Order: sequence, then structure tokens, then C-alpha cells
Amino acid sequence: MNKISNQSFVISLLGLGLVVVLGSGALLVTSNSQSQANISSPADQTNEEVTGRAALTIDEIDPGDKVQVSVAELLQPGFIVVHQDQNRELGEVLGASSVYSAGVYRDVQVGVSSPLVDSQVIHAVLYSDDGDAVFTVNDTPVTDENGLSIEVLKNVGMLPMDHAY
Amino acid sequence: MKVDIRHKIKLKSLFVLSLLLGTFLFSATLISAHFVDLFQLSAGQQSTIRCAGDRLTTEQKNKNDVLVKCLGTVAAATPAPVVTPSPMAHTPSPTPSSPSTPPTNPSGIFGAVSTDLLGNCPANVHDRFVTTGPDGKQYRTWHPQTVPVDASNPGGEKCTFAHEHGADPSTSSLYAEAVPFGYVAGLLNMDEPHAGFKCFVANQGTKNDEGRTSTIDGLLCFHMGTGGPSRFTQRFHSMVYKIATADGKRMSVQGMADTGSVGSICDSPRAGKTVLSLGCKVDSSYEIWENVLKINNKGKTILNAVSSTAAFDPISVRDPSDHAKLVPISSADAASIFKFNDSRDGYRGCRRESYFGPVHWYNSGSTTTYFTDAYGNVTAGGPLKQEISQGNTTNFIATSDGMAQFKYREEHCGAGLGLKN
Repeated sequence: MNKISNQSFVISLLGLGLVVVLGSGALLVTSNSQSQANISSPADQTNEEVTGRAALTIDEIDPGDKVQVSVAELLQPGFIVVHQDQNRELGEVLGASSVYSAGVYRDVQVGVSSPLVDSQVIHAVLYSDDGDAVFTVNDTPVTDENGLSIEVLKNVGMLPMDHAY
Repeated sequence: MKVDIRHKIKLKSLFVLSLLLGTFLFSATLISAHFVDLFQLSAGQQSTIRCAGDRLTTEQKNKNDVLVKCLGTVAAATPAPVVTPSPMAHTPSPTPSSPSTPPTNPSGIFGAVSTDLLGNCPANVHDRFVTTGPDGKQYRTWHPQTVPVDASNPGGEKCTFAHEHGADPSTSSLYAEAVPFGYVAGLLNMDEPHAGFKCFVANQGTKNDEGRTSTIDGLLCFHMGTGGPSRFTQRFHSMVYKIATADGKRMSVQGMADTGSVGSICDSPRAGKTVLSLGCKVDSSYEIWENVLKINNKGKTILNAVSSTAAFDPISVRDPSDHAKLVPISSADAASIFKFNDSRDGYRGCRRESYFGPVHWYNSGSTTTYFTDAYGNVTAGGPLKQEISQGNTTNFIATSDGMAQFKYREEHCGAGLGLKN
């Protein structure tokens, strides 16, 4: 009985030692992953999906004679219009799409009248059609609930800065 | 019976030994895993800390403490840092860096620093002021203009850089971590000139020179240099901007702020960046930029954050006929634009003021965290984390008398500043 008891005691001790060693190891792994926690991977960086409202997404604009629109969502017939920038306000119209019905459109192109050049700044804006299916000065920008136009301000291309002062 | 006693003694010894081993391993692991050791040096000592991982990072916590982290994957166990205190026998040798070096210099720190920015400090002293960016790389960060040559001997020999970065961000109520200078522009493969990073701090209760009291906490680190002509063509500059209002609205955003077009005070309408320009006679040497960062979610503006930054003593002026030409403000060419005849030899772009606000929130969704590209456009996998309170607020109040901006003037004109400050 005594022998069995002692054997159990030894096994318990060895088990306790193992738990302590394994626990320490686990803590070490946890701690190291915590120390890296502020470095997020792109997969973690997700945004809430936007649905059911007018939307416009443009990824990059290369120099040239067109603007590539990744996604446009219109709730009513309208246009995607490209404006020159005038000190952060809408400048002259550089180009407009044909009229689109309400719906979601992907990878569409809008031609511009004069080639876009590196570092030029443009605004891409959603407009509502006034009913004649042709873009004119009577058409108006689509606005959100705050009265702000649905638009994307973009820098064409980007010349790397050469460390000049 | 004797055998039983010996057996019990053996068992007890084994028990004690197991406990000791377990406690030792547990404590050692905790210490190495949590980086909680404090290694204290006495005056006159220096030390070497070797990292057995991939890379060693340092972060100045305050004037006496530096946090050192050994980054990398741990294979089996974390080796304890090798610390070798030795008496100080220190004459650091400068490591000159070329003005045309690429963004990542030999030190592995992002951001080139030319020797003329270093003043009488060795390059390795400047390289002490680094922080880890969200991408895990090392970036330069804020530092005082005058620092100890040996970080382990704060009371010892000092040296002075030929540039300064303005207010210490850690004095802000909103300060959480060191600002990685150049991280935002680096996303566009740009290396914004180091001396241009200027920080501004205003806390609730701060009084300005007009007697107005701030009702907001504000921390702004914006890239604005006045030493060269590239600012006349470079429209977007990096901005790290945090605001907390008295009514609980908060934002912590970063990105390439739009400074608009460039012009002079003689132009109408005024441009986003109003600079001293040849051909426009003035009675004040004031340069001011309005910096706008919009966070835009698929065409919808969810935040419009505006700051303005100004210098009373810009280092150079603009030639409207040649935006690439460097025209020092102290030059004979520039003298023609001033209605007054004071000396401008000492102008170093170090007498500045900032305007915190206005900021408008249009964040009606349930999300308060967004990931964007460098220009503030919400993008899947975007590298920049933006934190924006919920709600719509266009009535931004920054002062106790209801102003929508808090203006704060600061001077950081230490001796030894250079012409690229």
C-alpha cells in the first residue's frame, strides 16, 4: 500500500514538473506573439462592407487618356464625371461616361479630353441624370445624407520624391 | 524500516528539486518573455546589448530610459540579452550619409539623413531616435535638438542637431506611441526630407498668445519644411493627427494631407499653400499651409480633418517663374519683396504656429476603425489604420469662446539650426 502510494507520489511530482515546464513554454509563445501583435497583416485589415448607397471606388489612375473606375454603384440613372482640380474644388470637366442605369458597375473606363499627367489631381464624381440621358450642366452631383458629393479625389500616378528640399 | 526512511528522503529531495527547477524555468521564461528586466547603468558606464533574434529595436521612453526589444522568432528558448557593462571611453566616430542615399540607408532605418542635418552630432547619435512602424520596420522619430552624445550618460557631453522637430509628442494627452516619421509617405515610395517633420501639441486648458483656451486635446505631426523649393510642387504631405473634443469625439488619423495649390498672398482666391513669392510685395514674412485629410469610404466622406501650419521665418521663398529654383530668404533676390528692411539671415523656419481644426465627423455607420490607402481612401487591406468616432458633427468647437480652430504659436529656435530645418 505504502509502495503504491510512493509511486503515485513520484508520478504526481513528475507530472507537476512537466506542467510547470510546458506552462512556461506556452507563456513564452503567447508572450512573443503579443509582442508582435501591433504588426497587423493585410488579412486583418478589413473594412465594413458598404451596400445600398451610391458609391465610387477608384484604385489607381495612370497617366493617359482614361480613368479606370473599379466599382460604381448608382441608385438612379447617372454618370461618372472626371473633373480637373481647382485648389481642392471641382474644376473644369475633363470627361464624362455615358449614362448608366441604377446598378453596380465594375471596371468601367471614363475617357478624358486631355491626357492625364503624373501628379495631376482630379476628382471623379457621381452625377444624377436630369432625364435626357446626356451629361450637361443641368445634371447635379449625387450627394449623401450630409449634402456632400459622392466623389474621389485622386493623384494621377506619383513621381517619387528624390529627397530634394 | 530504514529502507523506507531513505526512500522518503529521496522522494522529498526529488520533490524539492522538481519545485526548484519548475520555479526557475517559470521565472526565467516570464522574465525573458515579457522583457521586464531593468538594466541600470551608473554614470560613466556603457553597455552592449546583443540580440540573438532577427533585429534589435530601441525606443526612448523618457530621458533616462530606453526600451530595447529583440525581435524575431524564438526557436527553442529565449536567450538572455548579453549585457557587457564597461567603463566609458567614448569618442563616437561620425558615419556620414550622402544626401542622395536611397530611403533605406545602411543603418537599416527608413529615411535618409544628410550630414548637414546632423549639426555637431555623429550619425549614430541621430540613429538612436527610432521606432518600429506598423510594418515592423524601423523609422526615425521625434528627438530633442540637443541630446547627450552617450545615451547612457544623460548628464555628460551633449551635441546639437542642425534641425528640430518641434513639440515633444509625448507631452500630448493623446500620446500613445512614438510617431514613425516617413511611414505614411514611404507607402508611396517617397522619402520626405527628415527635417520637415514638425510636431505640434495642444492639450485641453492650453492658453495661446491671444488668451484663448483650448477645449480640445490635439497632437499633430505634419511634414512641412521651408528650406527648399520642392514644397512648391509637392502637394501631398504626410500628417499624423489626433484630436479629442470636450464632448467626447475622437479621431486618430494619418495620411497624405492635401495642401492644395501654391500661391502668394497677392493671389485671389488664395491658394491652399500661401508662400512668400517674388513679385508680391509683403509686410510680413508669413507662410501658411492648409492641410486637409479626408477619410473617404467609396466616395462618401466620413471625416474631414483640417490643420494649418505656418512659419513666421521661412528659410526660402518662391520664384513663380521657376518652382525648382532655391531662393534663400536672406538673398538679394528675396529682399525686393519685403516692405521692411530687417535682417533675415537668422530665419530657420523654427518660429511656427499651428491651427488645430476644424474637424467634421460624418461617420454614421457602426464602424469606428477603417483601413485606408495613403490618401485616406478606405481600401481592403489598407495599410493605414484610422480611428474615427461615430456620429455626425460639423459644429467643431476648439476653444472656450467657441472658435472652430485652436491657434498655437511655438518657437523652437535653438542655436545651431541649419538652412534645411
